[in-house]
Amino acid sequence: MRTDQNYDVIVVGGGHAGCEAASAAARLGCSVLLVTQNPSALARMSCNPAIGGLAKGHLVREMDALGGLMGRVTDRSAIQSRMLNRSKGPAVWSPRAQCDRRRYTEVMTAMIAATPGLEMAAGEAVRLILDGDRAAGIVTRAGEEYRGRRVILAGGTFWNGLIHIGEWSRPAGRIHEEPAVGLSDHLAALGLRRLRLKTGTPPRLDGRTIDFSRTDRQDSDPEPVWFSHPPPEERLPQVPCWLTSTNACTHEILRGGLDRSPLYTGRIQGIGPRYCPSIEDKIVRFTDKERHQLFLEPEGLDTDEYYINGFATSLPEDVQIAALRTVPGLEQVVVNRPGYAVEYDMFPADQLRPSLECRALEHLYLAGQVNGTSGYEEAAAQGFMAGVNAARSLHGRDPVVLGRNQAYIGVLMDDLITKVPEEPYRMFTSRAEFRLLLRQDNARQRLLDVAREIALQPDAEIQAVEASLQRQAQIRQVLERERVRVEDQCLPLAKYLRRPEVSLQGEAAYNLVSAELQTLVRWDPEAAFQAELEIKYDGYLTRQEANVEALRRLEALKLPESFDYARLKALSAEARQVLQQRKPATLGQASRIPGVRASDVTIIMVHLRRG
Amino acid sequence: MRSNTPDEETIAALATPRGVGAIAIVRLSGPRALEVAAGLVRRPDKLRACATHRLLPVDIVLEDGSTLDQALCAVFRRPHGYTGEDAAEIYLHGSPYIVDRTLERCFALGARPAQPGEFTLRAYLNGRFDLAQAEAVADLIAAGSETAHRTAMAQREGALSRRLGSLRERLTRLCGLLELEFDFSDQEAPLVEPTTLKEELTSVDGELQVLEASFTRGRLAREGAVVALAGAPNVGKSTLFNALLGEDRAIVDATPGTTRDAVEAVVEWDGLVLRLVDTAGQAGHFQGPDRQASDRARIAARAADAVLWVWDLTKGVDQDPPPPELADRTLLVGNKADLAFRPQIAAFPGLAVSALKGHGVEKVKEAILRLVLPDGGLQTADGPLTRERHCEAVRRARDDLSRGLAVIRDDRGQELLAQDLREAATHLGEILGEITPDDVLNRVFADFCIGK
Repeated sequence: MRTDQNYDVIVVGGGHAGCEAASAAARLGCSVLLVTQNPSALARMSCNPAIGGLAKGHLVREMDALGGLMGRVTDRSAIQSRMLNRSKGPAVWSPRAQCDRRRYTEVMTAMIAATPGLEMAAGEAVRLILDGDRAAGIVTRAGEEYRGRRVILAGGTFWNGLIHIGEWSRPAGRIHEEPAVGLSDHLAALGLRRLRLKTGTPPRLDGRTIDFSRTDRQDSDPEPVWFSHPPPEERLPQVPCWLTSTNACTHEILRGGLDRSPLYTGRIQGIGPRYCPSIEDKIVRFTDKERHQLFLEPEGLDTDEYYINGFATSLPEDVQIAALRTVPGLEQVVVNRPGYAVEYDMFPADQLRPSLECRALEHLYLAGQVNGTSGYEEAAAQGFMAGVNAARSLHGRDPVVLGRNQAYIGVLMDDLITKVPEEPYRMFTSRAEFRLLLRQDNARQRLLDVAREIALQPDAEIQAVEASLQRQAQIRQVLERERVRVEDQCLPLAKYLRRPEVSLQGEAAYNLVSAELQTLVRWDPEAAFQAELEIKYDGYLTRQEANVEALRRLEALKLPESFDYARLKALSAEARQVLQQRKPATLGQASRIPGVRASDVTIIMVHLRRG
Repeated sequence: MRSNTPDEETIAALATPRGVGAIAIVRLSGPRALEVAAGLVRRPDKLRACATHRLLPVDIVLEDGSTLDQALCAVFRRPHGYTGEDAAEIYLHGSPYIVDRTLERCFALGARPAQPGEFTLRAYLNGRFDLAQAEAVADLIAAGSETAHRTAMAQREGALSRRLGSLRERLTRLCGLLELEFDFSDQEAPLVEPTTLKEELTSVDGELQVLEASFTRGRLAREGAVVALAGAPNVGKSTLFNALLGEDRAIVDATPGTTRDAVEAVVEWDGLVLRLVDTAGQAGHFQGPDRQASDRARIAARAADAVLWVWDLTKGVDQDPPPPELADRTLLVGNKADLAFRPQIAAFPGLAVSALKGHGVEKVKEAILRLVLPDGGLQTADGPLTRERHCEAVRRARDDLSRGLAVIRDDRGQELLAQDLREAATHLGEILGEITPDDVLNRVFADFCIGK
């Protein structure tokens, strides 16, 4: 059935990636259709109702600085927010918020609904409409045809999704939700390479049956931790999380269920994440560990349901329940929904350009878990970039490609297109080599130029960042100039601030400085913090910038897609093969592809220099 | 130095010294090397069919079909030969005419003249060995003494590369653990205890310090040591110089100031090459040409690894002392012991010799070797640093580590420490040539002769 509807951009999937993609493209002036199986289930939190956390918090801050939605939605649904890693240096701090799951979807749905030019349709896309080797629209299971000049696919874990609980399994995208079948096979038939991944989720518990007195309480930070700028005026009521742990008894019961575990009986073929193992994986791999920490996290303000973080499992339901009831506080627990594992199809993102456009099928973009990532934030960041770049491509502009030296988003995208996925990809602080520069606190400032280029941020916000940068420079000058009296010694303030325990945010140092500086710090604490960090990290920032320069030189060497690596006989056979397949855009990218040796990079460099 | 793509071009050069000799070797490398070689010979099909590392008797023929030479051709098929490319070596009779005509033919058949070091550059680019090993090839060719040869061979075989590689590996591992901790800080126990971290860093730094110190040995082994004889005029420096050489090289006369320009000679003692420099006498009151000679002598002494400061024992202890800035490498030698009184000799704080009679000269040799050789002599099998480039990189890595240790001491945060470790590892990697900028390559391969 043909509809006469023609759109600039069609987005398939209403999850975190799909929502960001659709919203960004629409706000950039495109007519957008968001096709999803269930329009009332936008931006669902399929697993943990939390946003941010180590390195992921950076992604959210960066999206917010560029005009993404995730930070704003999070701040309007957060019921516990904290800054993680405070025991370490500010470069690796990261904000995290526990959200009200239902409210998160509501807030996102309201924002999507209020976006001019953005329509929604219920349906399951089963294949693409092609115009030669270009995507030109989609066809739904019901036979509706929607034509679009750009198509963004963000299918999450739904493509050929298969859920496992013990020996029971059935096709599903999330529990009780139908999978998406057809589209993945269609893409594979068009020649795209496909892999199978696995992820899992823990059981949901009835909070009324938990004895919290036997657990440890963990509260929000007293001061709100916001992701978005400007933040909302009010903070929702805050609720605590609770800490407990497994013990020898729990492990005994879990071990007893392994013979019925789909992970250990070979029923699950997909590769799961090593960094986020299921509880049965943990007891098998770390036999000497007597206990594993568990977090009981509220799912919302209007529900008694709790998420048990650290207990992802696909063991049979009876084993799950028996094991849970050995955990302090959970002796009487009622399980609302068992944990499960889900297997799904993904398409290795080395088949994409850095803009997320498919190399083989132009005008087609892939974003989110279908590219092999795990996590809402990773998905949203890709969706956002895909939406922006699809719109830019329609407007005849070059894609925005963030560098590893600019943003965690840049690191994420670069890793995706250069590395072979060995497990679902999650963002980590350790992946960002320029982490001293890429802090969560300076996302708006360091991405100001990119925000201007993308043009989704209102002028007022751009001006606010400019002003903050000016104040930062001003404060920095005062910091460099001032001297303080400490322990009967007169020290340059800059020297004093280099002590790890000293911070202008703290009372001790604040009281020592001049009234002028105090005023500045009170006026713009954020700018003051950044100025202070520049001093604290002094030589390190400079050296890291020098390393950025070295990287930039490699990145500046562009490798045309027509570059014939087979001709470069001096390259190692492995490098020739992967380079020919991946077609990196720059020499910098090439250098990060596994299998490409330093000498290979040198050969290409020598070759390029000679023209 | 290189103006064409390494992947497409076939290069040719004479690999043996120019001139008349028994054998001359012309070397070819590149994708068309075997084709070019086949074009030179009477039976190209046999050469084309020849397996790698085989030697084939061939007739080299000119365009008109006449035989230029009866030669042997060694065939190397990629990736097995020295360069990692298809290559051939042709063993000709050592006549410059035959060589020139053969090379001419090679160029006519599509090869181009190789640049200095280009064969080794290609080997490096083809991943046959790392940069330090490539440098060792140049050293091997230039080796003028047993020690220089042993050092180059150890480096060529990867002694230095292995040493650096293992230190780098230790740093990378620590850095990895620290970085992991950023992301898993909720784990109860830290992945690396601060004390372990400190111990490991101190230990790596200790090894780097040993490496840095090994540069003295490595450089000595590679380049030899310079020993200057200096002191006031007419104390017998030139006599001692001749005695050390065992031959009459410098002109000796009783007239003060006989030596004006420095005289040099190379000797090999205990496998170590030494350049002995006999300098003009130095005195504060000199004018004119004597003044200039005296100044030059001062400069030569300053550039030396060891200075023999010579006194005339018959003139008592009130003589010009050696320059204080050279104190750490100066050996005080009292000459003319045969003419001096016993108390004068007894009061002398240095080595008493009679250069004329040859008394004590062996002792001076031993003292020189003790002075220039670091502890443990010239043992170089462990792979010492041999170039200033290496030493600079190790120094930088040590700077990084000392900053890192300060970060631990002041508790300034793991994110800073991780960066220090990463940079230290990068600096060590530079020695091995990991992601090497063009200019570094050019510098390294500029040392080579053509045909290597």
